[in-house]
Amino acid sequence: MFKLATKEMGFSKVKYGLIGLILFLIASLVLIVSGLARGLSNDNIAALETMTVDDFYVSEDSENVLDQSGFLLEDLIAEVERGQGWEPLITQSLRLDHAENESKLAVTLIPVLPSDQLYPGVIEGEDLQANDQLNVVIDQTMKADGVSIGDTLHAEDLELYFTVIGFTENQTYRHAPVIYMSEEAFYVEEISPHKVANAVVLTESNEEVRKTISATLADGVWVNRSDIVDAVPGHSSEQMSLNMMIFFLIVISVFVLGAFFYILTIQKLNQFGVLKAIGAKNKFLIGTTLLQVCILTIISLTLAVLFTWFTSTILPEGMPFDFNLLNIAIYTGLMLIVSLLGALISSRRIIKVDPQQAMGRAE
Amino acid sequence: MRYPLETKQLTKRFKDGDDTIEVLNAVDFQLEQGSFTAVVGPSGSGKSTFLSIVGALLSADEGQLIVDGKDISTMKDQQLSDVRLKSMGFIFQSANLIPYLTVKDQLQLVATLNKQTKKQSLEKIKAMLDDVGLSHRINHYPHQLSGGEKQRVAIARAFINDPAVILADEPTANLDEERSKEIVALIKQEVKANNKAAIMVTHDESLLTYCDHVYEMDHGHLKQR
Ligand SMILES: Nc1ncnc2c1ncn2[C@@H]1O[C@H](COP(=O)(O)OP(=O)(O)OP(=O)(O)O)[C@@H](O)[C@H]1O
Ligand SMILES: [Mg+2]
Repeated sequence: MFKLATKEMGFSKVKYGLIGLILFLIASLVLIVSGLARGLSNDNIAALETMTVDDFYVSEDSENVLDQSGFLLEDLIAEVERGQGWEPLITQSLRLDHAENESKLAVTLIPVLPSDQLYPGVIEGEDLQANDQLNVVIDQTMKADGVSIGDTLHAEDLELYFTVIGFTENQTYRHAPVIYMSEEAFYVEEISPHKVANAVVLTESNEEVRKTISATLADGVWVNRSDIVDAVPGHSSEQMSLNMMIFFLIVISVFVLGAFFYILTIQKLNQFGVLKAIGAKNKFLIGTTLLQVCILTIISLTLAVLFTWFTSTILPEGMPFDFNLLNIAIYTGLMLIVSLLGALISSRRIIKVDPQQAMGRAE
Repeated sequence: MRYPLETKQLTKRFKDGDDTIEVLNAVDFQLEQGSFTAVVGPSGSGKSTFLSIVGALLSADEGQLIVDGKDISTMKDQQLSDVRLKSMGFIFQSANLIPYLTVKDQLQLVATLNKQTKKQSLEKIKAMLDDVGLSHRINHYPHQLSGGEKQRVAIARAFINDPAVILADEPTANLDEERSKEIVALIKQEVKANNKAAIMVTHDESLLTYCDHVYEMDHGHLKQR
């Protein structure tokens, strides 16, 4: 069976090569689009996704959008001390001037207690300290903008200068890198004279604290992290349109591959008739056909994965692309099933071939 | 006496619009071992239909088909497929070779279908190709062969599984006179050498001299001439 399958493919190299090429192109497109979808998603919500907290208290009328939510914290601090199970979450968009190469950078500023779990820690450089120095640790994607440790970033609106002391990873939010600074340095006259926050998060599940927060801060609701993620502007619509593309690509490939394999089968009906006449069974003929499709698909998919990997290495630095093996395994598995389904459609024709047609017929 | 192939009251009808035509009408026929039988008759008289039915490619409406002493008229597709594989060798009008297989692989395929190992079959394939005079074409593809050579491969393919019965439907229709005679002589030689039984349908009266018996198909009846 295997020998017959490979012999035929070897004999009709061009025919099978073309189908393999189409398969390769479709699979590459699926993989690259899904890599982009993941990359974009990361770019938009990674900072939220990597947070280890799950309970967010936001303003009732904010529609779960952090920027539209806000609380004054003085009353709450009077009720429950800091470090007793809750943390303020503050996100503030900033435009920074990079003195070294005169570029402007859009970032999201998140002030944290360096000892708290909202602070992700550095992968390079020094960690933040709980003091009022204007030190920041920034996401490593800013390296692509030419920022390095020791550089000074100027926030013109605030008339402040920040010093970069370390890099974090996977800390991006709303397509911009996140920069972390110490809370003590944030709640000062120049930046935020009042103790405010966009949201309050529970750092441990404590019913008592939860109730106190609800009672103290008016007009708020508790939501999950996934609600906050879904409400990040652009996230749902981006993911939806990209997933839609992937979905249609896969539907299209069912039809394209189905049609190809069908034509291939139709072309060979006479041969199948002869093979049946000399004693080959349906099982053997369908097995051979499916085996061919399997071989072709596996080769094409392997090449597509290599191509996607290659693409991910030559994409420009700032381009969000996530070459994720699990993701790729899922989509290649799906493509394999899709092409086998396409081939199965034509198996019906093989079963219906009448071996008698070989007799008394001139080709 | 046991025949490699025998039919009893074999009847086949086809629908032709509202009418039914009786292509085979209660055909009684015996094929003797070691004999080369020809079937002649006008076009449309049912020769191919007869050959299809005795070759287990088509089922009869009535009557019995007995192959090697076994009644196969009630068998299912799967079993018929095995009967064809083990007991029948077919030579078609056009050689009907598989385009992407070399001469050797054409024969190998049949042997593999019959669950023979490569080692067992290779010796036999070489001997068989030697018999039909194609030793020098063993690694050629069908498109590299002449019409006569293709038909020789088809003959080798029909004999390779050591079937009891060889069925040939106009095996020389695409060949010139000289080639036709060679091919039929070759079939006869193989039939005699291996003590098989063969039926050949033909239009060419000049080929009948090679045959032991000649039957004529006439309005659904098969008569010995
Ligand atoms: N599947 C079918 N359905 C309907 N009629 C059929 C079918 N197969 C054959 N026939 C009819 O049966 C008759 C016998 O056909 P067959 O092919 O056996 O003739 P033949 O003797 O082999 O002719 P030829 O010498 O031209 O090959 C013809 O009239 C043909 O039209
Ligand atoms: Mg005919």
